[in-house]
Amino acid sequence: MVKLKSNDDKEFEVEEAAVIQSEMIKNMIEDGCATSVIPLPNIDSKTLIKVIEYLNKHINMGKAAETGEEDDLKEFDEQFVNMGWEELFDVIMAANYLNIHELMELCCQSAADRLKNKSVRAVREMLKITNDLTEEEEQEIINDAPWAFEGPEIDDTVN
Amino acid sequence: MVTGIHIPEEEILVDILTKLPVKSLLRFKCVSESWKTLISDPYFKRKHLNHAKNKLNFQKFLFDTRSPGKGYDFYCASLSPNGLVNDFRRLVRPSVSTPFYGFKVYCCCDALFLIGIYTENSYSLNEPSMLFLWNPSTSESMVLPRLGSPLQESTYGLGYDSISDDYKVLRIDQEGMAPDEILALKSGSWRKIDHPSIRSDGDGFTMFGRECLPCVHGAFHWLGFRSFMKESLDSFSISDETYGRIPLPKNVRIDPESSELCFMPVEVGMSVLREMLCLFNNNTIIFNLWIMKEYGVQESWTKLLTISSNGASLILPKYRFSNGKVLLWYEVDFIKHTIYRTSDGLTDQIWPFNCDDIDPATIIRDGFVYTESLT
Repeated sequence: MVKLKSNDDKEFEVEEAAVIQSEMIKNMIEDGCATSVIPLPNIDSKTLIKVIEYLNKHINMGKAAETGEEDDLKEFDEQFVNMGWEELFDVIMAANYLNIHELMELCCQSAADRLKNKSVRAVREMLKITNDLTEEEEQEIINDAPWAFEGPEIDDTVN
Repeated sequence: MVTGIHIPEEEILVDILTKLPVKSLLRFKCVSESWKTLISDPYFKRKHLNHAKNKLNFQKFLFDTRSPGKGYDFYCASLSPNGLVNDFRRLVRPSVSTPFYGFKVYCCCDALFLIGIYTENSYSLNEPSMLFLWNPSTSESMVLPRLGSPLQESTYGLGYDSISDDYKVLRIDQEGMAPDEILALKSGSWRKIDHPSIRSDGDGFTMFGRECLPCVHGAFHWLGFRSFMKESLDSFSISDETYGRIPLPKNVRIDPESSELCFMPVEVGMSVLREMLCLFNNNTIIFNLWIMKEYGVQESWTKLLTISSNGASLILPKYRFSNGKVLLWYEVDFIKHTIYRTSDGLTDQIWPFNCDDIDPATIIRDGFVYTESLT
């Protein structure tokens, strides 16, 4: 078992087979630096619980294909990313820090799916971006590909 | 209502944006100066393409149509193993300044198409007077420099050279008389390739098979046909620019003359399916398809399909879905009709091509599967 500590001082025990999906922790274990508690100063307990939930479910990823549990895992993944926008980014930041490739892919795909049909205005709001393009520059981009700005799927709401 | 999130690391933003379709990316160039710069960056474009390459939802089916009075149009739509998806989009025609009376789509590589244009100045019906590259996803196009020796009948191939990070166009003289020429896009001019030994050893070299040079595993490929019925699979490395030869399947006769079906018209060709080189032939009775599972290894040639031609004079493989089904195009009658079917060798069915929105008087011509991408 490996002990992880969140930035709000909560400790969690995780099986080694699960936790080594994190490249960062795997390297620490290999280098013999994981003998006591591993402090994770960037991750709060709420996010860490989500990450551990994912790691435990994906522990037997290789086996899933053999035992026909792929659908089950797919369903879990779909449920897993069903979380708020802020929460999703907390998990993305944690997955990036811990270097968990599959989790990063899953969450970035979910973020992309949520952004895909958004209007420019909605994207700016969802990602706190200030527009620094001039009106002429914007118009030039629109003129290059007007069809990219048209279509019934384009969604101006922020949710 | 969600609270906005600030993404602190560009690396994470890149991970998210590479998963977006082209339409979203072209729109999101308007988000800010830094997004515009990022989305226009060649490194980002390549990363996006590599992500998109083998994902079905980034594959699009492009076909061109001719309709009386209206001329030609290009359309694209998504595809699934069960049929063409009804999300047609009429594409912005490539902007070509010279008036022309005909064009020919040679091939596509990633998101780019190589197209030849015939104008009044064309020397013959076989040689276009102008070539250009077109990315239908972004509607950007680029006219290629003029060819040095336009009198021969040529075959063209388009490929990506990862070593020089550049696309290259190869022109091969079908009769094997004139030197081959290559164009690296960054260099901006055609260059003659030294007469190679492989092409001077035989007495009389002609190329047979369909008209484009499939590029896979860093090389262009074509079927050569020498005297004494000797056939060969020749290759040209896109990075080293050297010729080579790939073994053909054992105990298989590819060329029409020596086939036991020699009294019927036979079509032979090569293509690429899921990054694997494939070889096919057909007459009006039977169609055969082989793939080379491990590049360059003769024993890895595997017969994928042997199916009825359903009377078609020409059958071309277009795409192989992840479930193993191969999408095939049947040309039943030169003008009248084209049919698409899918087959995995065991079951063979019509691939519905529902295009009710397109004028019924329109003639739908050949189609291509390409990757929707920015580059």
